[in-house]
Amino acid sequence: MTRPLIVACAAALLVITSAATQHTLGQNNIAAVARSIALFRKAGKVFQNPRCLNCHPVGDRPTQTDRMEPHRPWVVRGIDGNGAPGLACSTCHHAANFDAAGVPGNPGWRLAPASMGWQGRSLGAICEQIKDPARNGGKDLAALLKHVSEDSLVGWAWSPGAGRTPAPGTQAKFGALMRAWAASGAHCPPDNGK
Amino acid sequence: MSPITRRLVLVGTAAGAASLLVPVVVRSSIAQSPKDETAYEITDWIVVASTGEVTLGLSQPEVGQGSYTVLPQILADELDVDWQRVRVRFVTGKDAYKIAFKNEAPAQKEGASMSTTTFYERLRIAGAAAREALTRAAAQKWDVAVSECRTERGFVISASGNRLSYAELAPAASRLPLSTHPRLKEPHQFTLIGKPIPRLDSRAKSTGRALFGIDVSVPDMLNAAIRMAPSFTGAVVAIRNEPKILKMPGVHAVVRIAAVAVANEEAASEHPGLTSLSRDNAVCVVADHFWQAKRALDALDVVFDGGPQGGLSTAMIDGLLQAALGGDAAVPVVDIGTARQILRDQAASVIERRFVLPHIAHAPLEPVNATAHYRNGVVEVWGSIQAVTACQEAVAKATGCAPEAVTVHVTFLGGSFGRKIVPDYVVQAVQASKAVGRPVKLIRTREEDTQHDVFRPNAGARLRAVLDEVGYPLAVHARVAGQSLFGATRKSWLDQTPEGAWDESMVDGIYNQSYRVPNFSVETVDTPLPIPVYFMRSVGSTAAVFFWESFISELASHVSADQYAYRRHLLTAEPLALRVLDAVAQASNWTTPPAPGLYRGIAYNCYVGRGGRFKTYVAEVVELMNVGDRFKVKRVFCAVDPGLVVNPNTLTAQIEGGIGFAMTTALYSRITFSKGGADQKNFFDYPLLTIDEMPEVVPIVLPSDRPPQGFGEVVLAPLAPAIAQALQHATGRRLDVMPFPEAAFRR
Amino acid sequence: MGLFTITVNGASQSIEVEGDTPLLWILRDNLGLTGTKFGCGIALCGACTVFVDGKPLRACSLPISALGKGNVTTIEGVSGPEAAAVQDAWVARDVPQCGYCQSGQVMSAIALLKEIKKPTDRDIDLALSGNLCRCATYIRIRAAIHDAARTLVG
Repeated sequence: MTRPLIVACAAALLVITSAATQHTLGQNNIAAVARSIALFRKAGKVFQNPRCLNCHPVGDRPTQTDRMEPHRPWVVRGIDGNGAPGLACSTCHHAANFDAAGVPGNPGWRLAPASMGWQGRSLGAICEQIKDPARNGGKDLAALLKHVSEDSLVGWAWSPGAGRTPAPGTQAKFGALMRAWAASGAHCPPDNGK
Repeated sequence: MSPITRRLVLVGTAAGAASLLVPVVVRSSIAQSPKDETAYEITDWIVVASTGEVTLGLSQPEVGQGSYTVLPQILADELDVDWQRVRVRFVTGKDAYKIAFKNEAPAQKEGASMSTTTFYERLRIAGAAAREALTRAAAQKWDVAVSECRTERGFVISASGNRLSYAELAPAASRLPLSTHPRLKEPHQFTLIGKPIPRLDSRAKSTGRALFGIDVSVPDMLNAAIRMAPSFTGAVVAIRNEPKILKMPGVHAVVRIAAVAVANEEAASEHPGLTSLSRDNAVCVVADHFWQAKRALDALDVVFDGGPQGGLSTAMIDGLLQAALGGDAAVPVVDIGTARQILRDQAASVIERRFVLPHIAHAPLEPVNATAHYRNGVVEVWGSIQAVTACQEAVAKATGCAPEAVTVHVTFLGGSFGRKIVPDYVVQAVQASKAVGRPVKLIRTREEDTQHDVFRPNAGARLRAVLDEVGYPLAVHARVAGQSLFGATRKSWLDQTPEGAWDESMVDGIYNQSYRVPNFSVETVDTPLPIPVYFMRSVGSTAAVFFWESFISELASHVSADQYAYRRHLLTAEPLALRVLDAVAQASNWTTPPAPGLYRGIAYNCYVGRGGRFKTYVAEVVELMNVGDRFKVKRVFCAVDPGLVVNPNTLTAQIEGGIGFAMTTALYSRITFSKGGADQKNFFDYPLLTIDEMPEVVPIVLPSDRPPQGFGEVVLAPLAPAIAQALQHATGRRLDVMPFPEAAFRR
Repeated sequence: MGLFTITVNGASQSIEVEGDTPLLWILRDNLGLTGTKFGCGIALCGACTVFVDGKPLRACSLPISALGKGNVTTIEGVSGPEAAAVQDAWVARDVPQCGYCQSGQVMSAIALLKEIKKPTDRDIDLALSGNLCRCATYIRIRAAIHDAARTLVG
């Protein structure tokens, strides 16, 4: 008579334990997502830094300086991000910063495609954009992480030349932050227009 | 007429293409050429070579206005020479090349839109006198009467058909006395005057072969870069690392540069005399090449102080301006009727408006620069110099030599707009040359050029009016305040009254305005400032006409009157004014309601030349169009009465370019001040209009029997008030400042 | 200080100069090619426009050390049907006033016509928006580019 009771009790215990675990897991989930989002908000200090935003306009024309004023002269994305015929980015921007002329440079200097336009968008929207292979140049998460950690043009944000405030931290730290964010589930802040 | 002048024979003048563009002093004995060519001076302006080439002297610098073509055109027409065989040389050193605008000593200089007006008669007489001398030489040779001879494109032809070229006649002609009153052509005989002759310098300027001051290179020359104390009254306090800088590549010397008085530093100062002051306010590095000089200069650790006015700021300037506009003290300029009394009596009906305009910078695309060689009390200067005599005098004053010991070679100027009349940068180059004992080309960077411009002064206005029962101005009182240009730089041009002196440029277009205003009172207040200022294209009218036309627009809209009809009514006593106003209204279809999204503004001005020398009538209509969420200036109609037009091609270019120049001023130009000096540095904070912003321009040139009137400056002033009026129609917002804020153009 | 061998207008030039010297000043001071102008020094005005391997480049923005094997063409050496058409159109329309910016304007116009045979007004805006003209000769610049295009296409 004792064994069935033990089994029943054990079974009951199991049920009670799994429900408790699930409840705890649920609470842990919310916290984990929040931590993931917090990581991305930290990374957002780079994404929404003028050094990056200036070449990630939503419209056709880049901006410049910390005040993010319309780029003088008027230049546009053009077909492939390299500018309009007659006034390509490479007319003025070359492989390296040239402080004597106050002109920044990088071998890959060009405007981000319209699908990667970030100016004026919420951090949540930017997050969705960079995760979406249809909009981020066909990158999966691993490729995205490699891009932000190693790409030379991305890295320019931390060595922008005289007279420009660098993005916060370093590219290495940014890469590590993004890897941590990816490991944490790559959750995006809500797209609440902020 | 001195025999020496007349018998000058130039040996060895080169005929190469480059020589068309390189400055040459007519009497330079240094000129060396491979070709042995003898040339004879027939008049102060005309040299005929044995090869048949005719060299026409140009005494007015080519700053973009077309003098290089237009003035020779006048000479060539009366001379009756083959235009294709003409070449142009810049000339200097004779009284014939000097002009005065108002009550000052004649000098060789260009400005105030005076070149054509002043030289039209002079050049016609010179050309005709030369033709007469050549004709007489031929008549003597053939032993026939002068009346039996005629000229045709470089030849004298006798009744019997004998021909002699000007080249063959030149030796004899150069020995004949010149008639002072030769017979001039009748207008119907003109072959060049009045024709749209292509510019002589277009090919060179389109192929990079035109020589500007910055392009000059002379043997043994070094290059220099300069940094001036940011504060206008500042000085060099210390140079901390000179030994290290001297070791940098190519560097020859670090030179302290003595300040010259550029405005208000000395009561007696009247530049471009440019008295030297007792402090060093700049350092320059002299090196083999410019970049070596600039690199070294950037590394130079130099300490400047702010000097006595190191606290100068825009807030301070604006404060002075507002106090002047509201205060009691003012110098009366005009007082017709009982304006003040009426305004007091009808105080409740007074319409009042205040305006504020900033200092602005010339910003020629070629930054100021000069090449100078000082040796043993003799100075040679090359470069973009708009006023030769002033340059000689300033250099003489700075070095203690005689003005005649200063030889000036003038190149094409890469824009000036009045800037390159002031030879402060020349004196700096001379100092550098004196320090190193070699020729030095000193170039200012864009930053130095902007920060040490000689600015168009600020101006503010307070206008008050009472309207009559119908709505037209019954009484108007206008007070204009600001840094007086004449007070700072040319006291002899101030108008003296018992109550004080007033500066005509401050109220240019107000005190002499054309509308019928029965009670009219105008006064000025000078707010002196330690800011270097000078004349800039269109001078004070760029401010005064903005005030005046904007206020008239406001009065008209106060009674919901049509802006054209309102002005027309007030101009019925001025037929020449009406003519341009009607012409522009007609051309723009003013009386037909505009298409939806199109807004128009109209403005009028009569530009009166310095000292009353000419009157050019201008009326403009601006069309503003809706483009997306903004308004854009799409088209400008510009009707002008410029008197006789010597070259319709260059005149139209001045209309187009003048409107573009005025657009920059209306939309962008502003210099602010802090810590004693100017804030703006380059084209990112002192932008210029770009091609995509340039409106279409429709010029309407009205025929006239009047002689040529000045033109280089005249179309600028009406543009801004016309734009403001159109914006007011479009948005309901009134503009009382320039530059117009960007938001003013938003729907 | 280094020895740089560069090709300018088809000719090889060896220059002993500091590597950070902008190409602009090499052209003007070391090689005496003054057709390329200095207006701002920060690649904003376009007066220093040259071609490197046929593509427009602002000579004030490139240190000589970064030029490498690029072939430089200046206003003095520009040639070909687009260059002839543009310069002839410039003269026919009397585009220049003071003329200081015009070397750069011409180079940019040639570059545009090499890429677009029949540029629209917007194409002209985008190609020339970085070439400043204080005299505001923009109306004739635009007209001359259209003229040159017609000459080339027609």
